[in-house]
This record gives sequence, structure tokens and C-alpha cells, in this order.
Amino acid sequence: MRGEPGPGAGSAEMVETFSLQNIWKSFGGVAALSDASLQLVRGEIHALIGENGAGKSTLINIATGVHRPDRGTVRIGGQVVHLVSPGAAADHGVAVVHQERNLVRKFSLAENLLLGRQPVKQGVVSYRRMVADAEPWLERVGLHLDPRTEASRLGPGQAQLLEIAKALMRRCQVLLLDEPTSSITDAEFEHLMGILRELRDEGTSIVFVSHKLEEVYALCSRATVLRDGRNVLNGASLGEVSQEDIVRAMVGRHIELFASGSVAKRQTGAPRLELRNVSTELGHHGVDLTVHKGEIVGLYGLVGAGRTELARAIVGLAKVTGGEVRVDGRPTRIRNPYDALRHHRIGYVSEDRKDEGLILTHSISRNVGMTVWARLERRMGWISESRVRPHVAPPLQRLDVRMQRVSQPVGSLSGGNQQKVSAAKWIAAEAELLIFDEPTVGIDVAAKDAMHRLIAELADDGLAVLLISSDLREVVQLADRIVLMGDFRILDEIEGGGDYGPVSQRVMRAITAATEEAEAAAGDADGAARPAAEAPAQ
Amino acid sequence: MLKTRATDEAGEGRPGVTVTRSAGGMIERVREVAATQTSAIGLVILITITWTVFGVAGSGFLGSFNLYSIGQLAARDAVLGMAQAMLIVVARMNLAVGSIGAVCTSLLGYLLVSAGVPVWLAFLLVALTGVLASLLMGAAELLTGLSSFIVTLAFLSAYAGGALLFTSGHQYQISSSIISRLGNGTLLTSAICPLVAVAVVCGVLCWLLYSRNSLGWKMLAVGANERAARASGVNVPRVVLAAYALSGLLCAVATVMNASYELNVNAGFGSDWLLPSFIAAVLGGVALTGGEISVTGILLAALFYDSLQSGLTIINVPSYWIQLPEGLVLLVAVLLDRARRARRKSMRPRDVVASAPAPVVVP
Repeated sequence: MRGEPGPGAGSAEMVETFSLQNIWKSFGGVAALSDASLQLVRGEIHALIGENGAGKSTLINIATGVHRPDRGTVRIGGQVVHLVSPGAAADHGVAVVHQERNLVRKFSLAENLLLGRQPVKQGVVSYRRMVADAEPWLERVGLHLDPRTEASRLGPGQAQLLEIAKALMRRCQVLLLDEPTSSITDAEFEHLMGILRELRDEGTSIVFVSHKLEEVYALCSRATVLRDGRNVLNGASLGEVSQEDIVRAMVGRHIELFASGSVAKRQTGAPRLELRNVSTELGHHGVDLTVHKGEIVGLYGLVGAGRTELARAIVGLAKVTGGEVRVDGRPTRIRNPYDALRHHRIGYVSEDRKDEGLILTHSISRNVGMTVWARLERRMGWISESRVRPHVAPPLQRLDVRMQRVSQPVGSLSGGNQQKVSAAKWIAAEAELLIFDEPTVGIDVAAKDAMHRLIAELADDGLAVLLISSDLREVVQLADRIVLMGDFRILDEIEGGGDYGPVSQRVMRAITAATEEAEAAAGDADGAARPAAEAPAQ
Repeated sequence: MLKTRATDEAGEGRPGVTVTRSAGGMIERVREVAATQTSAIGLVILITITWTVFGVAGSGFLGSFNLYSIGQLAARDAVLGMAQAMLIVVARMNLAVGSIGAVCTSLLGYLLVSAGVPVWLAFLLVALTGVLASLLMGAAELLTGLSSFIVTLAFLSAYAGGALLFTSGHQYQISSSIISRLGNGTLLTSAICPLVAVAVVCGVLCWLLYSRNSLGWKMLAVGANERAARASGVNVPRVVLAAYALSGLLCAVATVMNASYELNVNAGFGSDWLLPSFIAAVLGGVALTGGEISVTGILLAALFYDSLQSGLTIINVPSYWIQLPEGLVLLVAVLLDRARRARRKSMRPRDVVASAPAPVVVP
């Protein structure tokens, strides 16, 4: 059977293929799901929406046999089934593609695809057959690559497609995609959409989890919205509900989304940080950048433009090799983040929340407190939780972090709340220059709004803020000035705070112009501004 | 004191803080405590079983003479476990515990016997040497960027060889009455060696370090996620050096403890310290991946390990065979460490909903 892609095209009638009915699930006395349901019909793309912590992941884990429901039934094709393990779910044709990909980076595409089911000839894995077997499935998802390519060479979007190919090869009827678009480019999303539509037309039922409502509307026909573990909308037709309705359903109240149009122009103070002709070991050249007190500078550019790398050089995580760095007008050298925090009150909210922003296994209090221990300890370093708590609680409160206790491990919080903790750390530290690196990637509408408000408030309070974001709307909305970066250089600078339309057009024009200029200068050799789709993730 | 508590209450009790206190939270908390103490609880059970079995099977196991010698050995092994734990906590390891012991032992013998230095001064110099010997390894690790495994392995042979060269294989017969009373006297009853008190004091100090001192907190942070600790402004090199220094200090303490009951010492001391140091730390619940420690666990694990050894000797298991269960205990300890982490992970669902409705954000 293998090697022949896709199930036979089925009839388009509303046949219920997969349903989770009245599911209850709690962890350690805390209810994650209370009477939640999800019904899929054959050949549809169904959106599953909710804030972080609303129970989406738990529902997916139940659908894929990772967790078992306390109460409620799972039906596949009308039959009640008990998905006792992920293996059992796979046998029933349920497959999931997670945000975190499960690829063996050192293996080839073919090996990854056929992991655990390699074709064996006389006790030896037949590589030739493996490559031949893998090829049609890679083609199926539009990965026109040699099956012998190493998986580590795939970009995030391509890795996603490989995972989908893996799911298809296991003949799945129900495909769950958990935030598939959080780390891929627009072009990759278009491609993914095409593939998903084809699969739908062939009869696969697809669950699409996303925070981006534009995408949901572009792709899905129905939506199920969860809030606090309950259904707020159950398979509502998207033709009949508006985006505002969905947001209201998700959040449970009407939220006036933050927009800087309503904010008066900020009064900016003296320069807090100045880079003069700075070059770094990471490849920056001649970078000039100034961030004033009470100002938000947006640093925008394509993926791979060198923005995160510049931030790392500023806080001393990478070496500055030339030029001058001034803090409060004084030339200085920042050797490491300890230096940056202790001597210059500069903080960096990392884009890599899980590996660099937080210690997931440690408590909220320890994570937030890390930056203030040095200030609070008595002689010989003596310190206590009760001494730290008054400094840890206010920022958490300001950001409305939803938690049970400050002694709870950060890893037990939802993504949006983790991001808030990661920012709270630097508020507790009373940093005077804060670098936010992609502060709202992969977090829900309400958490995103909270981050936006925070960033604006901090600048209003007189902090200097450098905002790195690939979300142009966010940059235009928040920044007083937008600095454009490409290929580890500063391309241009634009006044922020205007309407999205004209400003975004100017930004795109400036980037295109600079890119063309650079390409003309560099000739045909290695186009200077790398297109986003091919750029590495970092 | 009063002031701290007042501000504390103000911080948590202020309206609008989304801290939910529910029955579920209490249960979760009890579970959390039970989960963090599994190693200690398990070890108490293991020790009870060991003592019961050998108490019945081997004559004299529970006699005061045997208990005394178990305590004597377990005290040293507990301190060795702590020396090892200091570096495991920061996600490193110290393979040279025994060699630092050899260097310290040689120096102690030389100072007391050949140089006739007063006991207190000898202790001080030995402690200093332990710290410096270990700091040197730390500096080498930071400068070369190699893993602690390689660096301490290199120093293991360098120090052991150096100690032999220094003493030229000389034996030192320590005659100080203070030292011999420490290792061979009694405390309260004839079944307890004063060294037990030394181990407990070290344990209390370690506990204070990790629960009440910012250095200990930073060590835990560095061990759990070095990148995050560095990005949050923790001075990682300084913390790592401190961990090496403390590990070396505890090796020096273990040296004095060991010498105090052996009395006739040479540069061969410490060659058999590595295994007990790992067993006490890992079986005691120090996560091999770093960032977690249980001092109670280390003390109990050392007690269990030496009870087992003593019991096997008493029921006449040939000494060649005793090494086999030693290795098995380490293997079991590592497996337990892994199982513990897997369980903790499964207890931590990603998607827990706060049980109270969210308050409205007022802009």
C-alpha cells in the first residue's frame, strides 16, 4: 500500500469522522477541561481557538492518546474508542504535528520519514528502497528535495511539511496541527495552505490551531473556541461569526485592543544608548543606532537581517569588535549581561523564551528574582524568599500573570504567561534600557495586548526601549522611530506612530530599495539581503 | 523580621493579584513536596529494610561497634557526596575528588608529622590547598572551554601523581590526640562517632547555602539553564569558580575525616572515593542534569551505602564480590534519577487553567 499517496476521494457529505464529546480532565485538582467537545466532519479544516491555558493543548493531547480523559467519549467513525497511547491514536489514523518538531536532525529526510518502519531486506535496512519509498511523500507535500538531504538543513517551514508527510504516510484520517504557523514565513504559509486544502479535498479532517485569526479565516470553514476548558463556540460556521465575535468569545469580555494612535506623542529625553560605527564578531558593520530615554525604537527587518544578533552584542552575549558604544553619553564596553545589568541597567528579553529567557524547571519567584538577588542580599549573600517576594510580586501583578503560586515552576504556565514572566524579570530589575526580542511570538491575543501595553507604559515612564519584531503591524503601532535592518547593516530610518497603511508601505519600499541597491553592489554573487524563506531561523 | 513579613503580606494579598488559593492548589502543593522528597522517603525505607535484613541475617550488625563504624564511614562518604554535589548542581562533575584527597592527605601528613605544625594551622593549610587545587581545575575549564569531565579527569592523574612524588610513597603516622579523638572517640553513646556531627554540620551549611544564600541560588540557576542564567545577568564564571572552590573545600574536610580514623596515612588515600561520592550524590536525589539538590538525601544515601557494605561484609560476602553491588547501587541510583525526572515531567501539564475567572484588565 505504501507509496501510493492519499486516501481515495470521498463524497462531500457531512459525515462525522472524529469527535471528542463532553471531555473532562483535571491535573492535580485543577480543571483543564470541563465538558469540552470537538466534532470533525470528513474533509474539513476546523479551527481550534483559545487563549493560552484555555485547554487546547490538553484537548489535543487527549485526541492523540497522550492523556486520557477523566470523563467523556472519543469516537472515530461513530465507534467509541479508547486511545490509551499515542501509538493507539496513530493506529486509528489520528496524527499530530506539534509546534516543537520531532525530527532527528542528523538523519536524512528519508530516514526521518520512515523512522521505525524502515524497509528491511534480509535483516539489513535497504537504503535504496527507503529513498524510493520516501520520494512520493516528499513530493506530496511539495518538498522537492533529495530524500538523502540531512534534516538539519530544513527551515522551520520545511520541517513542518516533513512532519505532515510523516503523518500522511501513516495514513492519517485526522490531522491535528498545533500552531503550525508560529515560526514560518508568509510564503511558506501560502504553500502550507495549498497542501492543507488538497488534503481536505481528499477527505482528511484537519484541526488547525492558531492565534492568528486572519489565517483561520483564510483557511477554515468552522471554528471551536475554548475558554477556561469549556466550549464557547462549538463548530460555529466562520461565515456567520466575525473576528470580533471570536475574540470576544476567546477572552470572555470585550477588549479594546491597544493602539498607539490614541497615545500622545512621547517626550523623549537624552540618549540612553548610542552605537557609533559599531561592528561585531557576528558580522555587523558600521551600525549607528541611538535609543533615547522614553522612546521606543522599532528594529525591523527580514529574518536573518542581524537584529537579534545586534541585541546580543549590545548586552555582551557577543563581542563588539569595532566602533563605539555609549551609555548615557559615556563610552563603554559591555562584556557580558552581568555587566549590562549591574553597571548599565540594560536588560534583554530573549526571543528564545524556553532556552534563554527562562529556567522552566525553577519557580516563578526564582526566575523573576534572578535579576534582583544581587541588590537584595545581605552580607555574605544571605537572602530569603520572603525578602525577594515584595520585589517579585508587583511586576507579576502589573502584567497580570495567571498563576497559582509564585513557587510554581514556570514550565507549568501557558506560553503567554511564560512570556510575561520573562519580561517581569527585567521590570523587577528596574532596567533603564530594555530590549524586547520578538516579545509576542506564539502568544495569544490578550497576552499580546498586555505586552503591547507594557512596552508603551514603560516608555511613558521614561525607559528606553528597543523593540525587535517581525510583526510589522506591532512595530508601526508601538515604535516612535523604526530602524530598518538588512544583512547586518542599518538600511534606513522611518518616523513611526502613523497609520499602518502608509508607514508599512514606506517600510517595504525602503527595504526593497536597499536590497536592490545591495544586490547591484554585490553583483550576482550571493544576493545581499537573503530572502526570508531561505534564511536560517536565527 | 516583622517588617519583612508585613511587606510580604502586602505583596500577596493586594486585590487584583491573580493568585488563586484553592483546595486544588493545596493538594498540588502537598504533591509537590512529596515529589521533591521522594528520594529521602525512599532512602529511609531502604535503610530500614537493610538494617532489618542484616540485623536478622548477620550477627552483630546492629551492635554498637558495627553501627559506630558505619557512622564513621558514612560521615566521610556524605561529605564526599556533598563535594561531588557542589559541581553536579552546576551541571558539572568532579572526577578528581579522590586526587584532591590524596594531595590534601599528603600535605596533612607532612605538616603534622614531618614539619610539626600545630593542628589548627595544618587544618587551615589543608583546606586552602583543597580549595586552590579545585579552583585550578575550574580556571582550566573556563579558559579552555572543555567539559568538566575532561578537565577533572586530566587533573585526577596529575594530582594523584603529584601527591606520590611529593611524599615519595612515605607513610605518616599521625599522633595528634585531637585528630584521633575526632575519628575514634565517641559522641553521646558508644555507637556514634564524632565524625557524624561533622557530616551533619556540613549538611546544615550546605542546606543554608542552597536555601538561604544567593550563591546557592545562582548555582542552582546555572546548573538548570546556564544560558538563561547568563542572559539574566548572573556572573556565570564566578559562580562556577565558587562551586569548584566549595567542592575542593569539602574534599579537604573529607581528607581530615578520613585521616582522623586511619591515622596512618599516605598518598594512596582517596583512590577509592569517586564511586561513593557519586553514589551519595545521585542516590541522594541530586539531579545529574544539574539545578537540583537534596542535602538530606545525600546524608541518607551515604548511610544506606555504608550500611549495605557493612552488612555484606558481616554476612561474609567475599570482598571481591562487594564491588559488584557497589556498582549496581550506582546504576540503580541513576535509573531512579531518570525515573524521577520523567515522573515530574508528566505531573506538569502544559495547559493548566487557573481556576478563578480572570480579572478584567483595566488600562
